[in-house]
Amino acid sequence: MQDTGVTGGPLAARFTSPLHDERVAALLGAALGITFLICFLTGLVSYFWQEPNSWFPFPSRPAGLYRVTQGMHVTTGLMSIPLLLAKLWSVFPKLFTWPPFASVAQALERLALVPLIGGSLVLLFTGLGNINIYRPWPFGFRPGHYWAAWLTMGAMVVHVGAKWSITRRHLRRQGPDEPGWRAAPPDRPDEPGWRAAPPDRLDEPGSRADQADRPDQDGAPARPGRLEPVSAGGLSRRGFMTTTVATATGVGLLTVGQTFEPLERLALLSPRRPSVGPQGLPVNRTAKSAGVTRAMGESPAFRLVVDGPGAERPASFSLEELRSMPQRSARLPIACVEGWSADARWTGVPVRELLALVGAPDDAEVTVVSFQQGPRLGSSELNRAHAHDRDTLLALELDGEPLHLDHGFPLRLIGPNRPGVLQTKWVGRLTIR
Amino acid sequence: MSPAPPRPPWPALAIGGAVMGYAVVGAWRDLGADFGGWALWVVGADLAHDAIVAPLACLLGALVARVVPAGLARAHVQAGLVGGAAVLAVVWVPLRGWGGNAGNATIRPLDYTSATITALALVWAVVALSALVAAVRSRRVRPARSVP
Repeated sequence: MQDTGVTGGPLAARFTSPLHDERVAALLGAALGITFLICFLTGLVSYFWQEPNSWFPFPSRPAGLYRVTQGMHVTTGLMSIPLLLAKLWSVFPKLFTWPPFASVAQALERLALVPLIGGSLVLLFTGLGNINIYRPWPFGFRPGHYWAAWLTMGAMVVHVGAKWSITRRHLRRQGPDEPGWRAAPPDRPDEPGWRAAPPDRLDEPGSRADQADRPDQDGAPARPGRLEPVSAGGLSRRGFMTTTVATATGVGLLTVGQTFEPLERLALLSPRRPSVGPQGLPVNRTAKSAGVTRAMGESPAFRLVVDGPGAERPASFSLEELRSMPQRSARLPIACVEGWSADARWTGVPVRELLALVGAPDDAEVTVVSFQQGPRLGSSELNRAHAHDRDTLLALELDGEPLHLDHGFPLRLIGPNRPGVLQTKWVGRLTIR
Repeated sequence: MSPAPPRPPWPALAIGGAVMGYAVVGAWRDLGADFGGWALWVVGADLAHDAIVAPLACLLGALVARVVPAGLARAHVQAGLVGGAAVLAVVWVPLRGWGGNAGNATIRPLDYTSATITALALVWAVVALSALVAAVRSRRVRPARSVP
């Protein structure tokens, strides 16, 4: 390859399909770079959101922001699957390039392909498995996925740096003169899989790219040394890229309905439907798996305790007392880290009203503690913005009915712009700081 | 005249290398005893792709080239296989019944055999429609070219 200083090898030369092409690789790589960057940034948002003492003060508004970022994270990740596989297919012959490198820099750049490809595959596989609650890997999902993302992004920086000039040329639709386009040998101008570029394209690169890519189109008279790749009877380069982008779009359309409710009926490939579950809402952790029974919530002994160093007048409230307080209703999404989300109307006592009752300061922060069994998801933090948002509720009702046990009966936290794992269910205590 | 040799991407190597180093140290610190398994998965995924997935795709491509006549038919069969492979990759876990939670019916509420068949039917319907349009367009274009 002219751009790398490596000339290929006997095995690499056996891949005669024009789909193993630099332009295909460059354009798919650019598309993949965009989807991975979206996944990385939205993934960072979700990761730091779940840190108990995050340095970033996440806002409570807009209410559906996390729903959008996490929905984008999962949908874009799923759309990346066909993009990545197509990209790897297009560059597969380069695996057999000989000699494998021509300089120290190129050796390092090629070595970085191992974390780039391996990290990308691990990211997509663990993400896909996680949304299906299928985790066969021997490490925790959250740290494993997070650090694989950093590893992949580091390797991507190396790869983009090495391929930047090539990608830029192809994005500008420059054609046969660029490095990497194989010139036909003078003695074999009709080599299969290659044909002459139309004369106007030779003069004005890219002017007839759409026509040149058609598999069944006749080429202009041969002009050895200025040939461009065409299909050897199958998909053309343009057809392959169109197919890949259409497939990625199709995967998006068949999965995005788990978070974008108007397309719910199309969500054939997603593991959730936003309207399927008790009271028309999915559940991640059931009461049974949390060791919670209805009797616990219905017991006359049940009381919500509001205390902590920030409470001037610590207090506790029975369920009846909570029901007799002024109630507020808010339409809020519950948005899960696994990518599904659904809107519902929640009714309950605003947390800020309870803070006022116990004399908490204006800048109070709150730990919301569940009475469920086991530490997993047993508590969550409300920063100042969330604790004092008018729509952060201890909900007693969902869509006008008492909460289903699986949704956190008798009392659950629901607030705007929060991951579902932080909407603590079966609440028994607020600790104020 | 041959193009000038590209400059080594030293800045990208330095920045990317630092980020990768940060990732490895972070994974080592956070994953503890699981770090080896994580690293094995990263390297193993690359090897599995290069040694199994890509060669299988090459074999399938060679089979299609041998069985399906060149031209529109082959191009559209290849497009259908690309789309179908993506559907299967995304739905394979629920289709096989892996994972999930037996006590939570809201996870994977669909019959994924029917869902997969429907999604594949959609893929091939789009491919068939595209083939039909291409065939009609090619019939319209060819006679015009034969006119001197």
